[in-house]
Amino acid sequence: MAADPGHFEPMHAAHAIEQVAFVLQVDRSLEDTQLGEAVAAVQEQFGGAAGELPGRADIQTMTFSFGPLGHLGQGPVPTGGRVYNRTRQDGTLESELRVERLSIVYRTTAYTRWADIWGRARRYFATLLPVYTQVGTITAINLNFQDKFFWDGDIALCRPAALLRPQSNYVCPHVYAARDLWHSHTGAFSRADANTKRLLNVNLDCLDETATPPQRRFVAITTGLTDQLNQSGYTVTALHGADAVNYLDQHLPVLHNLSKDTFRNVINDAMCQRIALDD
Amino acid sequence: MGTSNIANAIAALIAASAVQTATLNPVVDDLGLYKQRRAFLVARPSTIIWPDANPLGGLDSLPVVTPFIQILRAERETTPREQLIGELRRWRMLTANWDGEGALAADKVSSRAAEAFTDLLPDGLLPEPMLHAGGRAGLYWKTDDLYADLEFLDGQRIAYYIERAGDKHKGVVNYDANNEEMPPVLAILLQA
Repeated sequence: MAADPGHFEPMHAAHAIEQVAFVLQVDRSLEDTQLGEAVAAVQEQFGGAAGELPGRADIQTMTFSFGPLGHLGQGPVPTGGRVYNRTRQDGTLESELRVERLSIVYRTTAYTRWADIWGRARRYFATLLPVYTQVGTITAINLNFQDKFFWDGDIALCRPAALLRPQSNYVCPHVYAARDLWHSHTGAFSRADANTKRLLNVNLDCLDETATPPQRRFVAITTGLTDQLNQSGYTVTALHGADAVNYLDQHLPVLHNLSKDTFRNVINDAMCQRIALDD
Repeated sequence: MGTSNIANAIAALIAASAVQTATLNPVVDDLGLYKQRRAFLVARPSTIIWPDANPLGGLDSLPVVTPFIQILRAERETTPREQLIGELRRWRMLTANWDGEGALAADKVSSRAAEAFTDLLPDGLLPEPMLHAGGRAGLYWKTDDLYADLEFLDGQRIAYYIERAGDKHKGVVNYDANNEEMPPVLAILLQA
């Protein structure tokens, strides 16, 4: 049997997902009262020491004004929103919910199964959406996966082809010949349907982790899908309260499947099998 | 750097890159622990650049409509459940003679059934995975009061041998890997 020159291993043995994030953006900023309402709803349902998101902190912002004479001095400092989170005993972040004036962001590093993760995110969105959709309309829904694969072997022998699908649509061709660090970022808009302008981003970075020895080489792959609604040249999508949640129920699985299809087109068959992407 | 200088730097940044919102790097302490990031909100808050998204340094010039989430600096540990499932998935790729003694290739159906079974177990009752020479997957427990050996014959049956409190139990039970339900006899014997 030929000696193994090295191979990539998914970050968490069973899968490579370091983080998944859901972002929802609206076109109008929440006023203080509405932000307070949103924060109170999260605090009541999920916050507090016994809640599932016990950590909390206000999001600080700094605003500068500019004019013809240059800097005009610092304006009032509004609160950007509030972040709720859960951390592990070792201090690493497990999940985080950011309640901001223009967006809701939920992200977690504890990926298990799609149904579980979306089920949790859905409850947060269902709590917050009535407040946000009272003020404005949804302009963007984003699903963002970040996967990481570590090279197991002599770094000098690390080759992109050990991980990447040959001639992937989403990887810059010259990357395949790289012998050192590399990155490949790409993105494009498409018309998903009459209502939806879709942005697909696939960003790959081959990096060395040097903070803690031994040095490790890894490839991080970010697959981002953003469906923009209510854009110029597209049909209006008016969603409020429960309708908005139902829309997400229909829409997020579509984005998830598309994200998987895209990811399948980035990594090779062996790695797809290794992380059971097709199961 | 004074406030005025920071403001000038941001203004120059905006002019140079035509971005509308800039976000500072997240604050990460010496242990690599994530801290809250701070944001500068400038003009139209619809496009965000994310300096930290380009790990090679510098600003990422890709226009991103919604926030890209920054690469985390602190990794969590892989859980025992992920290790267990990862082992099963790794073995699933093994071809014939993986042991050098003529073993059959891993039976994928059996392996997937074992993986599905682990989803039904609480964190405190996770077993060791096994791969039999016949290619089938198995799960194995050995503690002070439990010895158990399950073999996944296919996606629908499990052969079991369990010793608990001096009693021995063995047999074959039906099991639907898609059903997300543990056979009652195993639920009792394993979790008693």
